[in-house]
Amino acid sequence: MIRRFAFSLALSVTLPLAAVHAQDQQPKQPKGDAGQSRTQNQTQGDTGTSTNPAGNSDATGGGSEGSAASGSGSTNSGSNGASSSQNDGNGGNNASSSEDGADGGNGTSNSGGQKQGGTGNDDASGSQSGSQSSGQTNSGSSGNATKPSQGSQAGQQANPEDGTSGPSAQGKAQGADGNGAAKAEAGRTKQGPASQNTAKSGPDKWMKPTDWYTFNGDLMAQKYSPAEQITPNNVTKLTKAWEMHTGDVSNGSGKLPMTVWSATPLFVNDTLYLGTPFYRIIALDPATGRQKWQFNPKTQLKALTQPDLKNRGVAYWQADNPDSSKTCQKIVYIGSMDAKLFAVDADTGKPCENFADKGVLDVNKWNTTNDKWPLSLLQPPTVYHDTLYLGWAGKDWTDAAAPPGTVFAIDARTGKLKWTFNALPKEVISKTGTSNVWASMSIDPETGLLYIPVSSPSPNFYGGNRKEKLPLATSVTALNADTGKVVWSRQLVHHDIWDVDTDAPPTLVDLTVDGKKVPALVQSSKQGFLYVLNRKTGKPIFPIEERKVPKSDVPGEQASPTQPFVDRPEPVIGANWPGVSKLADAVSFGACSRKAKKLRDDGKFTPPSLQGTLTFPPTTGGVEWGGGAVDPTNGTYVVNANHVVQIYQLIKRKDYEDAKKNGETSGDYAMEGAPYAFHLETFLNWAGMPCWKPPYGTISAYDMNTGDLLWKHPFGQVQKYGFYMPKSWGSVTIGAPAITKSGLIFIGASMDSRVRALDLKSGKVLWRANVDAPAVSMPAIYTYKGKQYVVFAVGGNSIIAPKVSDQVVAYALPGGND
Amino acid sequence: MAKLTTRTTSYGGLLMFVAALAAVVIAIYDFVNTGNGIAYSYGAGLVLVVSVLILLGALVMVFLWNKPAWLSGILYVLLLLGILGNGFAAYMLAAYWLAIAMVVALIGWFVHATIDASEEERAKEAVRKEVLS
Repeated sequence: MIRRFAFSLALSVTLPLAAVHAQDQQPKQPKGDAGQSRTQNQTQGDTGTSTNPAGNSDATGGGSEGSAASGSGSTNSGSNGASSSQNDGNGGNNASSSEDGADGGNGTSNSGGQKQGGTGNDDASGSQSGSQSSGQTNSGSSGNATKPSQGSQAGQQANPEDGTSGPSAQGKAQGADGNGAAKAEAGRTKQGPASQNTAKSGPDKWMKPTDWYTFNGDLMAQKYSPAEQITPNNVTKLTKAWEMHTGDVSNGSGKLPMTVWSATPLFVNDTLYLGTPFYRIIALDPATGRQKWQFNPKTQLKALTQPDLKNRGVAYWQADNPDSSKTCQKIVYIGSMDAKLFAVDADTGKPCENFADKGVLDVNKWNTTNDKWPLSLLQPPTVYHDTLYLGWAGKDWTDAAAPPGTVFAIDARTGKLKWTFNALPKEVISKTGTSNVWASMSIDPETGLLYIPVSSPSPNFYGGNRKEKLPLATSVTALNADTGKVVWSRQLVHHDIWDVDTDAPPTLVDLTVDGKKVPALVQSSKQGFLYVLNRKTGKPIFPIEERKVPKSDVPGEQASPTQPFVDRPEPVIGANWPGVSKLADAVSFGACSRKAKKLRDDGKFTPPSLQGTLTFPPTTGGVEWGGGAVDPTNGTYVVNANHVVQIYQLIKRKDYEDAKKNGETSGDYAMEGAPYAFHLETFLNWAGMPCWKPPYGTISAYDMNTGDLLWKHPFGQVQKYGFYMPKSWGSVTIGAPAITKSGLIFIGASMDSRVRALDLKSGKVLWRANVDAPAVSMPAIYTYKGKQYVVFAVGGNSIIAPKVSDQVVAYALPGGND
Repeated sequence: MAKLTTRTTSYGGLLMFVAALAAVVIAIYDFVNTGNGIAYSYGAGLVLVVSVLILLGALVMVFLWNKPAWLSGILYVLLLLGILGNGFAAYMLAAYWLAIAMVVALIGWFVHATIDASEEERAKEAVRKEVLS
């Protein structure tokens, strides 16, 4: 209450920077949604992953560098010790490393994955171990740095250097597992009744590069359009082509919760498809915005796992050879917060009777472990080869033991289960959970690898209850899309106690490094690092280095002694927090600097503490769920990032319970089952001004062939009560950019309710337009009947500004079709 | 006669009044024009209210001659603060037409304060005019 009062007072008095604020105030979001910072935070929180602290993780984790770790991870549990020591041996810099080393290894998660699966033996193990060792080795050496190898071989064996296990390893593993359904079931990967390997390779027939057929534009999450009609030279002429309002919006003042809408419109089948926060599907004429049909599932509109009604859009599937005499040869899917997945005919909007139960799949029937809340389907599934890959969001800040994160592969026609994958070992799910995949995923259509961003385990900010190695947690993991087996995995944060979920799909792109073509992926992160990996092997293309990080001073917690660091490409945010803002300090009569001195700040990865830890970046990132965009023709990668400082403070259970009795738990997360609750607070002064120096948000471009930063600018403007703050401050952003072949970047995302076009070469803003609320989504770019359109769904998000909307707006050059 | 007429006309005040009137119109448009980024915001409401107050102040300043000296002094100060503050607020709102209106009002204020006849002079001129007529 006090904070709320201070906030409103601030609002009424001065500067805004609500973004940050907002997060504070709404701490309860699920991981899943990330939609907003809040969500993410919360979610993660939920996950409880943090709990891991047990030291083990560290040990493991730490070492692990992540990648390999995973593999090890699972495997590890058992063997950690051993591995560790080995690693140590290597020792690298990380003191701690020994343990870490092990993990770090990098292990490729494969093993991990598989092992977890329970298969145990599996190759996985074999490979893993290998990996781990390597991993460790790496770590060890890491200290130094993992070598950038692209190596082809890597693929085939566990890479000692990286720690990641190679594909071959996987292959084996899979092989091993793979066959035996029984075996698989025992493991973390379970085969379902519809399990079946696909003989197909490459993108599906209906996937046209000129369409915008997935949440990220395409399977590889490039957010790239080959359209060239709108150019840097004529973009200033861009005008509104059409606008429509869905009607599905709530500001929370009535019976309905507030809406948060981050949908990417899909352009496919000569139609624009939208999902709304009321879980309706709307089909529009792409040239006029006129409604073709709409589907209303009439599902409950309650904030079951999130503080708001949320949606990120729909997914589309089409048979390779549609039979015009049959219905549902083309299907649009939308999920709901109560775990229902609806499938309707893409031409008529009528439910597909042959999909699950008359067009409705209740995913919650698979929610059988720690099922304290429904598996909210806020992110549309990823579609590939007649299969839907489905993650979910939850409410993981409330308990240590939460539903373990599961990825479901579902038959696109029937809704039957093909396989499930879980990132956590069975042995730990009685005391922890999540490590779910709430963001979107990417797929390499040529290799059939599915890349999943795995979030942190629960509870988010304390890991003393989960000291086991959890190598797949907070990782980027590659699965065989046909079987769900882990091919490789790289842990990005060991023993995550900061709720820095891997929150965006990796962007897949072929790079030319040192004259050689390399199949790469770029994984953005909340921690501000951009991990550039060989997407076939998981090995780093630019070095990843295990470095010692601060220890935890909280009884029961054991933070990882090392964490993976990336220096190249240059992180999207600074290495240390920006320092106290003189303006905010003056307005607060020195309160900002006095408070800063009382908080623990030992640099990046300083663990949460009882006194309060100055955390930069916190759970808000860094980079949010949108991730980046890439121009595949030249390797230019663009990404927007937040520069936010928050205070992480653990609260002894008894103190929390006492405060709860007095109703003084605003901003607190219960983390039931852990010895501590958690208090999350954005570092603001009494007036609501950030106590740290701007900018608060930036956008950067990199040449990923070299890892060079091309340019970096403050992006967006903070807007409060209508007033725009200086451009040099930038804005916290939620959403992502999209790139066109003509050299333009289109992006909304900022809290100032504007959408913009930037010059890809310079980052200069060439065009902007006002919209009804922050466009917290990513645009869709398509060409229809010879005319290029850029469409934004403008939904708003209370985290960055108290504005919501149901606007859909399309921009195009004036005149007829050229 | 011509000189007399000039001395009794408050060009600066009139300019300020007209600019304030324009500001009110612009502020109303900005407040209700959905899609401009500031519609129905506190900031847009604030500049609307302040614009109205400036208009009223200019009205009193220009057309009410027999004001006590203290009231004139206060009005001068308040109008200057109002114009400067509203202009800055308009700039921060990216309401640039409103900001331009405030610049014009500021010019009017300066003219009124430095060139226009004082109230006392204008009162005397009015008396003379009446006598002559």
